[in-house]
Amino acid sequence: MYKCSRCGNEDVRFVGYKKGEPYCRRCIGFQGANAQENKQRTHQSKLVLNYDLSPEQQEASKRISNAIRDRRNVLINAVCGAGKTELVFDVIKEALIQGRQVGFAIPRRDVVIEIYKRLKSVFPRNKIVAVYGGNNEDLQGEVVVLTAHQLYRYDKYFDLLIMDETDAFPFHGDALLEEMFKRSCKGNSIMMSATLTDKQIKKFEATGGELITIEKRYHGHPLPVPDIVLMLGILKHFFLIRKLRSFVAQNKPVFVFVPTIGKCEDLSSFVTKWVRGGNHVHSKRENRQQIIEDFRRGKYKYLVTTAVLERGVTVKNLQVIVFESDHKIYSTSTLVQIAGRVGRKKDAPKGEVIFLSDKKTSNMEGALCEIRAKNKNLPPML
Amino acid sequence: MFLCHRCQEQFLALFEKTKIDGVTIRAIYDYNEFMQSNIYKLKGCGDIELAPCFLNYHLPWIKLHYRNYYVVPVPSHASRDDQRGFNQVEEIFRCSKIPIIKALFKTSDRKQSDLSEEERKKVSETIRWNEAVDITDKKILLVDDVMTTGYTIRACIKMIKDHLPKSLEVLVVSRVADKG
Repeated sequence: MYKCSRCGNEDVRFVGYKKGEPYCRRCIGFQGANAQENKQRTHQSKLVLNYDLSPEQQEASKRISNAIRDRRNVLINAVCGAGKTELVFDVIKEALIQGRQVGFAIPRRDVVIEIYKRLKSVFPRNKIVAVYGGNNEDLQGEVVVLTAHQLYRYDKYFDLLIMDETDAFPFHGDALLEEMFKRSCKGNSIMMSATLTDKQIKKFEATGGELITIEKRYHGHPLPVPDIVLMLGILKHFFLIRKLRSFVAQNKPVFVFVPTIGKCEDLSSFVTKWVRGGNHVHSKRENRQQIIEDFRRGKYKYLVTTAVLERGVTVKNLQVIVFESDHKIYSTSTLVQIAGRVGRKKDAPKGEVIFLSDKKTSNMEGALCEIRAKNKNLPPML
Repeated sequence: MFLCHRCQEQFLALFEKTKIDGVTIRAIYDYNEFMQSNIYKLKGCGDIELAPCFLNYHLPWIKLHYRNYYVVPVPSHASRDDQRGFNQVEEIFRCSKIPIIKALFKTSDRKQSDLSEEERKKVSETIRWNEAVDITDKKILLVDDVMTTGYTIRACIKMIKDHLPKSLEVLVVSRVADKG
């Protein structure tokens, strides 16, 4: 019986034969240099945060540190905008002082770049590297920020491995990537997500790890509840144009989410003729980092985008319109994530989320229910 | 070779026909994203099990149309074949059971796809003829996996024509469509 030494594959359907020798076909696409052990450890660290954590965040952060000290794994279940990334800064700092190897894995490439910039400003004294497809020359650092696909380079490497957005495509439900995750982590792991099912939570609790739940955003305001607007055919476009115009007049940045790349281009070319100052972003767009950066600075008033911007993006005072939210790519968790883009800053905690579609689907209703349920757990606001 | 219907739909055969220097060139597929990823898996990762998938249902037609032919693969450098463990063009056409003659070999191990337009034109300098083989009065089928500019194919055609075959045709697995 053949078992792959890299991905642990035993399925005969994924075993090929080259000159009589078996080889694994499941992980054959992952080819590249493996990382060498990082010898330059500074054993020191300085955390530079120019804002304070909320009491909930501080408490959660303390619990995470304690759990990691006890060598237990941690699962963080926190709503969108609870400040998940800040929670782990303390643990990273502690690990860096002890000279342990830290990894920060995220399924999405854009989020990797975002987190990399953030960690760099927070830990100015430590060497932090970002590793993703197209940027993999420098593999060694005290903190390695990487996409889930690059984990194959790090065999039993990380003393502390943090996995953000565990429910996101392509990590979620991919047996190969999960196997890679287990393989590269020799110490403890921290998993973070905003949309976990009861099943996943029960499964994790059975392994004896520490579960941390936060059902409140760091600024204490409730999650914005989406409005469902039902319109047929071309009327959707008219509604979209009118809504965009009013948002642009109020000087509010807008994301318009579209299900597919083709529709993204079509809708963008149509809408930009009526409302000025827009652009579109999808995964095939090469200079999308630049466009997003320009959007932040206010060069563009709105962006038509596919699901690439669904996670890990924080823009002040953002409004969101989901165009054709009845499409099958929009699952409940995706819609909750998209709604969670809105109102993430302290000085602009409110915003509009509009699901614009022909009909109501169970996923849309599910997302609404979930957001309302999370808001109900809040203590009453004054 | 069995393919599920989902993969089968993706292998969309076109058999596009063109002529270079009076020689018929047939391209089975367009070089789209799907072909690119599969050829990369075969060539770059060495997934040999993929090799028979490229011809699969067109195999009877190819056998019938090119009967009494001899396959001459477009060469790649020996060091690359050693690294991979096989030659991808030979592997693709092995299942057709047409006899293979290794008449050409390459002296440079630089990839054609890494070179610029000007450097690509000089490819004929790096291809050599294997003096041990004789193709006089034989029907020759020149095969390759990807055809981009056609400089390699052109150089090979010229070299084969110098050795007087009975007839010459070219079959490439996929062809990059002209941008113009």
